[in-house]
Parts: sequence; structure tokens; C-alpha cells
Amino acid sequence: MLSFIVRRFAATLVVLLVASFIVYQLTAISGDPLAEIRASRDPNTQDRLRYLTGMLDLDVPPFLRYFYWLGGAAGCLVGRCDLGVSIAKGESLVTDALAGAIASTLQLIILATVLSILVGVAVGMTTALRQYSGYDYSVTFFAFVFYSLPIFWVAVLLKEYGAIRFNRFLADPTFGPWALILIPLFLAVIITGIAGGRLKARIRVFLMSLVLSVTLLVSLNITGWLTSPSIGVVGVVLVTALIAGVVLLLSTGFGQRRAVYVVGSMALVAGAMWLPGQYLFYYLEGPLGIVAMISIMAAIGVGLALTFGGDARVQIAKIAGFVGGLGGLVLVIDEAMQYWSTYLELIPLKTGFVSTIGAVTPTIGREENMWLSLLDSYAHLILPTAALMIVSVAGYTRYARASLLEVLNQDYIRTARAKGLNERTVIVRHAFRNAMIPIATIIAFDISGLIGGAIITERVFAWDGMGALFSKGLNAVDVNLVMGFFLVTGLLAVVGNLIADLLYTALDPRIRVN
Amino acid sequence: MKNFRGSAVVAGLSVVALTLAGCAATEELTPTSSPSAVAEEATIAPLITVAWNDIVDTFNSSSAAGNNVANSLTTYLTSSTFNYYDNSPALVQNTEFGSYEVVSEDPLTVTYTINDGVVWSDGTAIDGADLALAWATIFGKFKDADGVYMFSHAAPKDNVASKLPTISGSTITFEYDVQYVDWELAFGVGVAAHGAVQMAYPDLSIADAKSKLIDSIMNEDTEWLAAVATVWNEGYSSVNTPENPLVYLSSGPYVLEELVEEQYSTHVLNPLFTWGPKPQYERVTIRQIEDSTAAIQAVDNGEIQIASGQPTADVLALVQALANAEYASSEEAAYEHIDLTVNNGGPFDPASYGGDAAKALKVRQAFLLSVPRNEIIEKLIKPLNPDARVRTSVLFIPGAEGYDEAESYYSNYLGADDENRAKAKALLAEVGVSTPIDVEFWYPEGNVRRGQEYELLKLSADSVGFNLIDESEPNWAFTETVFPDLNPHDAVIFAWAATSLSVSGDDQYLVLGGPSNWTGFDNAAVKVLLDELTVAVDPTEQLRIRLAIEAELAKDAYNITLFQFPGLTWWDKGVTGVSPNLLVPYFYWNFWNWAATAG
Repeated sequence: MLSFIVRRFAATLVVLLVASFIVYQLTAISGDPLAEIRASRDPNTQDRLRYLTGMLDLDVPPFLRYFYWLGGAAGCLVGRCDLGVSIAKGESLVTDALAGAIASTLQLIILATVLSILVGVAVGMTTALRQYSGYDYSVTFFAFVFYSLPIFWVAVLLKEYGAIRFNRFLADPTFGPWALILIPLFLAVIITGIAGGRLKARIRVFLMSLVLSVTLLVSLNITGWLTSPSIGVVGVVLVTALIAGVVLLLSTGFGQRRAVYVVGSMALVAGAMWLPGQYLFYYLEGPLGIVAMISIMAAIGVGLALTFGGDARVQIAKIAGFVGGLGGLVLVIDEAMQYWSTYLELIPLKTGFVSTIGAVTPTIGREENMWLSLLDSYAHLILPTAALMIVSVAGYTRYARASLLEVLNQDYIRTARAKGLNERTVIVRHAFRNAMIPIATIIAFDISGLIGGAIITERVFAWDGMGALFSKGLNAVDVNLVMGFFLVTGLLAVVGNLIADLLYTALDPRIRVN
Repeated sequence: MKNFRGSAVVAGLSVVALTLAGCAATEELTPTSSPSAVAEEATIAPLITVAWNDIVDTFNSSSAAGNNVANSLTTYLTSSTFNYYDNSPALVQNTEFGSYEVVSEDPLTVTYTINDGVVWSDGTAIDGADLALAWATIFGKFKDADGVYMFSHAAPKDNVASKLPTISGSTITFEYDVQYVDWELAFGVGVAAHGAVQMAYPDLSIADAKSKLIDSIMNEDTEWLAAVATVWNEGYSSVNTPENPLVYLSSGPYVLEELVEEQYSTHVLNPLFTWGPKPQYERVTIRQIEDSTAAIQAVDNGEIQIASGQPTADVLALVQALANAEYASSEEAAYEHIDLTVNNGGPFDPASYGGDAAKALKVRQAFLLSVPRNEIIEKLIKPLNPDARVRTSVLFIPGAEGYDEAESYYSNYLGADDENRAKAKALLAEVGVSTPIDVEFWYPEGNVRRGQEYELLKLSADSVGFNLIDESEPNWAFTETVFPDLNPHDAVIFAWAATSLSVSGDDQYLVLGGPSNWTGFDNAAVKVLLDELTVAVDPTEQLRIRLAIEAELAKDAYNITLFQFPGLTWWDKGVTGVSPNLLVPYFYWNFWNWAATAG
């Protein structure tokens, strides 16, 4: 194993060296960094030209200049990075520019990646289970549509409908008669598709979801929830119960009484924690309050399970702890929502809250209130996250579907069914876990690619991360900046690749490196 | 939760209090003062957000490292100058900040005085020390042992004023070694002197810092000044709000409040500012948005109020579709022109005709006449800027003083395209060269608009008797080799950008051997006139000389100018007083006029 890693790193170093040389040369000959200044008739033109030529060693041919750069970059190995100065970024140090850019890119892609994986895997696996159904065909169709959409176009449309028009809608958020008819119909069709079954069952599901969604929309209209959204005690209980249900479905199933009682009671615990939570958040300011709430809830879950769990207490404790933590998260979100009206008053938008550019609202940044900043991040992240998700969800859906279908055809699944295991256990225990192995390796590789790959999304949403850095550098023929970008993304790609390989061996004992 | 309720109560109370105060104020004021004064008070709006493609990262925009447009915008909001450009464009004096006058014409001696009561945002008076530091940095007086400027100013002028100034109180008087023509643009207060000194020598008091600086400059104590110079060169860079408030001291209507890397910079009203027009917004936030479509949608969404960009057909259509915004097509500082190379043995070089300069001149005139300028404007520029017109002058911006006169020198070229082509044919027939004449033409590859211009030009010129050969290459290929290496292309199209109305600097491209002279243009009369110009301080004299140069250029068929680049500025209907300007600082030039509409 160790020798494998060492060999891989040695090969990596050679690849990086050669690639960096090529990228350096290509960037350097792609244009003239001084073009804009040359076109100026201002009296100080010649001074600027002399100054920049000297500073960037432009009189040295790129072939040799690369080794100047390499010398500075080699310093990174001993902790003294010198990646030069970036002219595109006001002659600041490339290392500083990279640090800021990496941070904001991570902020952008973490949420998008996590949500894409959750949604993509869930949708993909359900389509595999309902193979060749109407639902499967629809998802396949839309997955291919979304996968082939150009992201700049998606982003612009998202801004138009997700931000500008939605914000205007929020000025008077009531659903008209057409919306009350069409939206529930649409939802009902989708839900019926997922649920599947015989005609009679389908009709029942269809009618139920129709009634439910109409009720939901009408109650949104009546309560004015969209104007002042909140969760409240009832909301906390309901949402936590929903989470408990999903987690139970995926873990022990509803057959195990004790598990159902213990995990289900976490919803009531979350409701009971609401009032104490208000004091907790008041006295424990900042991220500490959030961490405390989530850990307390998780601890309660574990405690309850160990006390009342009976024979399977350890297994139930894991599940209850997990649900408790998520319930804590719901309480945290509830607390943030209480700042909603304050937030709306502080932002410059006249109606609505969805923002199309940047990462923060200046007026909110000045408040230095964590809850307001959270809401603000949410208002800014919602659109770029959606744009990134549309494309990657489509991808994950396909991977997950293919992977699960392949596993379902394996002999050990037939064996498990022959043993008399129920379908839920067969799918969740035997098929799901094995189907996740190839996806886990794809994820490791994807994340390293995303760091450098959000160029267009970042530009459209004025989000200045690694992508913006790269395009800025390339436009200004700023070789140092482009090389800084290359160094980070190149390293990450190689490391991501390595992790994917190692992950595979760790998850699948049949695979060996060497 | 308690906190939250408390703040709601406080907010509610303050709203009530403000309302009461407002009522009280109006009642109190109504009998004595005019209603307009009350209305004016009421129009101080809390915040305006404007977009730019970059934000400040260096607070000393005079230094070589900090000299770019984004930095100069923040500098413009947070500093006062002796003069500024309005949108005519003309230079306007700001006498509320200070005054300047020519004391003596020969030798050219000027004196600058800062008014009493004008202070930095920390309350320190702006006085002789600040003027002294400005003088030392601008005129590159001090050099280190290697002969490098100690203060790396963006454009040090060590050859125009080398005699030490005299400083008394808030007045500086200094002498120019030469009759420096752009003296009015050359001098202005930069960063705060006490700030620079205290950053270098933190132990000095403000008064000591100021007097020590003046002494050191007057005694040429370069050893002591070295630390100040290092701070001046490097100490003003910061991508987030600087920790040391000395870095961003303001002498203008606003002072920096917050800077967030690659996101925005917020500027809040400077409470001490009384010298000049008062802005109508409590805060100005400059948001960094590079993409034009993003800036349009952000205005649509109400996130920003003013933005600008280079229009394309798509961008213009989007802006026109905005229901809640107005827009103005405008011109930008860059202008397109076609230059002819006269020393590369090509069709425009007299050498090709056995040294017959008259023959080459006629061929040049014929080629310039064959440029379908009206068609280019109609088809390519008018859709973007309906007010666009042909620019016919090398030296004068349309609308600036002297432009009409300059245009008249090109009367032969001002007709309709067909007329001009007929004239061009006649000229070619007259010189009797065998047509078609090959013209190797360069334009930047990948630039769509220039590609279209080339297509139109090729159609027109080929019909006259030329044969245009496409030599487009990406990126300035013809400038790679510096003069005296020859420009391999016979004709090139590109744009010059002039961001000030400075008079000097034209020798860069009009004198043979000049660093930007890629045409091989050489005219003894122009050279003499340019030399005269650099020492002509009197504005009427400057105008006469520049017109004379223009006349020579027209006579020599040096080049043909096409149009001013189109620009586009769009703003939320909730804002009034926005007016584009083709020179730096662009639409920011009258930020004090921006006001929120009632309601």
C-alpha cells in the first residue's frame, strides 16, 4: 500500500512538472499582458510599460521565465511559497489571491455537492427500483435534458425566474386559481409515478396527493406563510417526524417496534426542546450555540435508545442519535427563521430576498449577527447552488441508477431474496451499500474537479472563487495567476484521483492496489 | 430572542422618535426657511449600490502599483482635488477645496493653496506637508543609489520640476524647469502626509510627522525619507478593510467603511466634509460584477442601482427590456482608427514608387477615402448607440474645444461613402498605378466587431481598386518588435484610449522613433510643433499648435479615424442625476448628484 502511494506521488510530480511547463508556455504565448496599456495614449504609458516589464520579467523569454516561476513554486515544498505577483489582481501576491478564492469556492460547492449527491442518489436509485416505469422514463428524459443544458443559460434563466420574478411574486404571495389547479396536478402526477403499483393504488395515491397539495397551497395562502415564513413548535415536530420516518425506512424498517418508538419520540423531544432552545441560543452566541443544540439532541437520542432500546440498543442508538442531530438542525433553522423579518428590512431589495450576485449583502455584513449572516448566505447561495445542482444531479442520477441495477442482477441479491428476506432489507442492506461503492469513488473525483470547474457559474453570479480567478488571469494574460490556479487544481485532481483509488480498495475487498 | 424583541422595540421607538422629530423640524422650519431646504434634508437616502468590474485594492492610486481605474474610483469618492473633468469634457476647478494660479509665466511658477478648515477624515488639517509629499512623489525628486525613483509614482516627471518648492502654511509654490504644458493636470494632493509618515515612524506625533517630512524634503534627507517611500509604495495595498485607518484617510465626501475582498467596498459620508457638493446618499457601495448580463439582472432585481458596460446587441436588448430602469447610450474614451504604414515598402511607402512621395500620398488618400465610414457607423455602431457619429480627428475628442475646426481639415473625407469611392477611383486613375493594389491588412483576430469592419472595408476598398489581404492575428502581433523594426502590415485597425485631456504624450506615436509609432510616420513640421507644444502653457496657444498638427496629419493622409467606442450606462428609475462621462471616472464623475426619487 505504502509503496503504491509513494509510486503514485512520484509519477504525479513528473506529470505536474511537465503539465505546468506546458500550461506556462501556452498561457505566456496566448497574448500580450501589456496590450491594454499599449493602446493607451496617456502620457504615463511608457512608464507603466517599463514598470510592468521589469516587474514581470517580460524581457525574459517564457521558456526561461518558467524556471524563475518554478524556483518560487519549489519554495512551497519547504513552506516558503513564492508564486509571484498577479497583475490582474492589483499586483497582490498570488498566494493571497488563491487563499481567498479557495475559501469562497469551497463555500459555493460544498452545499451544492452534498445536496446533489443526496438528491441524485435518491432519485437515481428510486428510478432503478421502478425501472421502465413512467417515472423512470421521465427522470431519464429530464436527466439528459438538464445534463446537456449550458450552465450559463440555466443560470440566467434561474435569475430571471428564481430571483427577479419570484421576488416580485413575494410582494403579494398568493396563489391564483390556475396555480391552485396546475401545481397540485403536477405534483400528484410525479408522486403517483414514484409510488407505482396497480391501477387502484395509483388512483388512490393520485387523489391523496392532490388533496394534500391543494390543502398545503391554500393554507399557505391563508396564513401568509410566504410573507413571513417560520417553522415554530408544530413545524419542528412535523419536520423531525418526517426525518425520523425516512431514516427508519432506510435503516431498520418499521417492523422493529422499539426502534419506531424511540426514533419517533425524537420528534416530540425536538418539540419539547424548542423553548429551552430559545434560551440556549440567547446565552450561547455564535456557532457554539448551534453545535451545542445539535450535540444535545443527538445525546438525548443516544440516551433514550440505550435506556429503552432493549436488545438492539446499540443499533437503535446510532439511528436515534442521527435523527436527534438532524432534529437539532431543524431547531437551528427555526431560530434563524425568527430573524426573517429583520433580515427583509435590512436588505436593499424592495420585495423578496433571492439575490443574484455576490456572497454577502453589505448591510447585513455590518450587523455582525450570525443568524442574519446565515440567512444572507442562504439568500445568496440558493441560485448558484441550484445552477450547479441541476447539472450534477442529472449525472449522479444516471450513475446511481446504473449502479443499483447492476447490483440487483447479482447472484447474492437472488440469494438474499431466496432466504426470505423482505424487499426493504434486500434493497437497503444488500443492494444499496454495494451500489454506493462506484459512486463513492466518483464523488471523490468530482469534488476535486468542481473546485476549478465552476468558472461560468462563478462569473454569472459574480462569485469570486477559483473559476473567476482563472478567467481573470487568462483574460489579462496573467501567467502567475493562471499558474497558481493550475497548481491548486492540478494537485487536487491528482490527489482526488488517488483518494478515489484508495477508497475503492477500502470499500471493496475484492480490489487490490499494486 | 430577547435580544431580537429588544431590537424591534428600539427600532419601533426610533421610528416614532424620528417621525416626531421630523414633524417638529418641519414645523420649526416652515415659517422661516424655504420649503426646498426641508425637501433637500429629506432626500438623504440611506444607500446606493453601484457596479464596477473590479474594486479597490490599493488606496494610493498615484503609485505605480495602485494606478488603475478601480482604485481611482474609490480615490475619487474619498478625496478632493483642485480640479475634475465634467462630462463636456472640460476641466472644472474646485475652489471650495483650494485654489491655484500661475505666479509667473517664465519660468513657469505656480502656487497651490488649500483653504482653511479643509481636513482629513481624522480631523488633521490638510496643509503644506501634504502638498510637499505630493510634490516629492509626482516630480520624482528623490532617487536611490541605483538611480531608481524612491517613490514609485505611476508617472514620475523628474525632468519638468527639479527645483525644491517653497512651503508656507497651506501653500506650496514651485517652479517648472520647462514650460510644462500639462501643468494643470500634473499636481494634486495624494495620500495624507501624516499618515504615510506615521506608518513609517509610528512614534511621531502628527505635528512632528508633518514638520519632519517638510524638513526632510527641503534638506533632501533621503535616508529618513526611505522608510516613508517604502510605505508610500507598498503600505497602501489591502484587499480587505485595512487594519490601520491611516491607510484610507479621506479628504472627500465619503470615507471607506468596509472593504470585502472581491465583493464590495462601502463608503459612508465623511462627517467633516464641507468643501464641495454634498452627496445625497449616506452610503455608496461599489459591488464587483464583471459580467454585463449579471449587472443587468442585478439592476432588475433591485440589488444594484447603477451599472455600465460595453454594449453588444444582446446587452442593449436586455437593458431596453428592463421595466424599472433607464439607460443612456454614450461614448467611451477609446476610438477606432485605421493607420497606414509608410516605411515598409508597401503600397503606402513612397519607396515603392521610386521615392515619389506625391504618388504615395495619393494612394494613401485613395485608400482612406475607400473606407466606408458611414456604412460602418450605420451598420455596426448605431444599433448600439443611436447617437453615434463619425469621429474625424486624431487629437480632438468630439465635443471638445477645437474639434469642429479639426474636422474641417478632413473636408475631403466627409462626404457620403459612394462619393468618396468615386473620388478614390479618380485619384488612383490620376496616379496611374496598376490596380488592384495589394494591401496587407491587420486586425485583431477574434474581435467580432473588427472582423465585421474588415468585411465592409474589403468590399468597399476592393471595388475601388485595392486588394485587401487578411492578415488578422490575435493580439498585437505587429507590435512585438519595437521600432525601428518594421511593421509588416500595410494597414492596421485598432483603438487608442485617452483617459484624460492631457496635451502631451502624442509624441509617443507621431514622432519617428517614438515607442508607439508603428506606422513609420515622420513629419518634420509635426515634430517641431510637438516640441513647441510641450512648452506651450497658454491654452489658446496649445489649441493653435494642436490644430496645426492636426492639419499636417490631414495633409499627409496619416490615418482615418472612425468612431468613439460605444458605452452603455443603465440605472434604476429610483435614482436620478446619473450622467455618463467618457473620461475616468466615467459615470462616477458627478456622484454627488445621484439622488433617490421620492417614494
